[in-house]
Amino acid sequence: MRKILLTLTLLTITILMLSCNEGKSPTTPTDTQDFKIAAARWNPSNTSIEAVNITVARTQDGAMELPGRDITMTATSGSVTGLTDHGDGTYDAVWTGAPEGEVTVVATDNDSDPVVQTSITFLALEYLDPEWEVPVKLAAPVSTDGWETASFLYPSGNNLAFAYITLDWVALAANIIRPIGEERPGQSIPQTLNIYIAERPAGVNPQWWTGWTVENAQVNLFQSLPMYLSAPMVTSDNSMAFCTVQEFNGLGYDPTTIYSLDSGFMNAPTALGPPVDMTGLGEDNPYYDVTRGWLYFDTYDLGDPLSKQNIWAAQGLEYRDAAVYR
Amino acid sequence: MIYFATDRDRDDYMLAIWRATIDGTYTGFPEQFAVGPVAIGRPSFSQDGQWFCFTYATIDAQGSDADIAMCRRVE
Repeated sequence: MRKILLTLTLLTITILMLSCNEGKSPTTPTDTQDFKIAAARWNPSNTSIEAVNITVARTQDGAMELPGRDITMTATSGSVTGLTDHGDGTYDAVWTGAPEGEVTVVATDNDSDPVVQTSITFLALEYLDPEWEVPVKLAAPVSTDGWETASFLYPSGNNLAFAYITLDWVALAANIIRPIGEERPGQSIPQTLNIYIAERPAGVNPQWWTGWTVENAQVNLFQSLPMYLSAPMVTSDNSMAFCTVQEFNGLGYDPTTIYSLDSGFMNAPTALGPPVDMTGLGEDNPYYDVTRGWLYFDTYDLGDPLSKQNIWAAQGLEYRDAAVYR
Repeated sequence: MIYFATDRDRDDYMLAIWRATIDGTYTGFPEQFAVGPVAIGRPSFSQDGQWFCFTYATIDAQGSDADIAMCRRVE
């Protein structure tokens, strides 16, 4: 009888403990999609980004608001203070710190089992025009450990073309081969610059820096020998595109030259040739203003990495017959 | 308006983004648009003017890495 009473007592205590826990944490969502984070300039009129408002929204199944959670936020630099529970599943706090570049803020819901986290990486800049929000690093597979460069946002804002190489480009300029990233699917020749096209997911996505897909552009198949394809650009009417090509000559890479091609980056490009291509100089970063017929680009001296670059403009009946320079 | 990247300051190889009015080849005096401390360049914009994209490179003693960032126009 005493044993039965003891068992019943223990069972009652256990049930009470479970009830207490449930009262403290009514739900334990595990879907990270239910934990959204956003960043906004605390004071846009302050051109230096030294304070950023961080907001998180905690919901169950994307709908049920979850106020009263034990939310914490940490940052890789600076500090996050003043966390406020707004009682509707949203919480906010303010990051403050020096404008030192990349900052990652991680928010944690400690009431979830397992613990649920969400994060955002933004750039704290020394100066940014006040009309623009805090810049956010595009998440993988756009930004990765490798070298993503020469990005170009399509006129629609829904696609992004960029060049990628697995190597540390600064080290490479000093003739040091230092791998920092993995080859992407579809890469034509390893350790060369390839053009990739990223696409934003359809529909409304509050975390717009996530969910992008990336594909290797077919133009990279143009490579028969190692060469760098970079600086992709699409005209505002989506009628054509430009890129740069740097061919390997057996000893090193020739100067960059500008090519034109279809806006899908699918077919073999065509070199613009002279007079845009000036023998001995590298031409880079083409931008074609299709409405006014001007091709802008810059030039550099391959033999002198520290040489000053100049911006040029070319115009003609066709950019290939450019007759005007400055 | 033309946007371009160049040295942040004289003899400073950290890139910053500048902008200038342009009419054909004739440009106005450029003004700073965005400044690091990371090297930022290759600015591009969506046609509706709501999105701004750029490349940035982080360079330190351990090496360098380049990534892509975007931002929206302030509402």
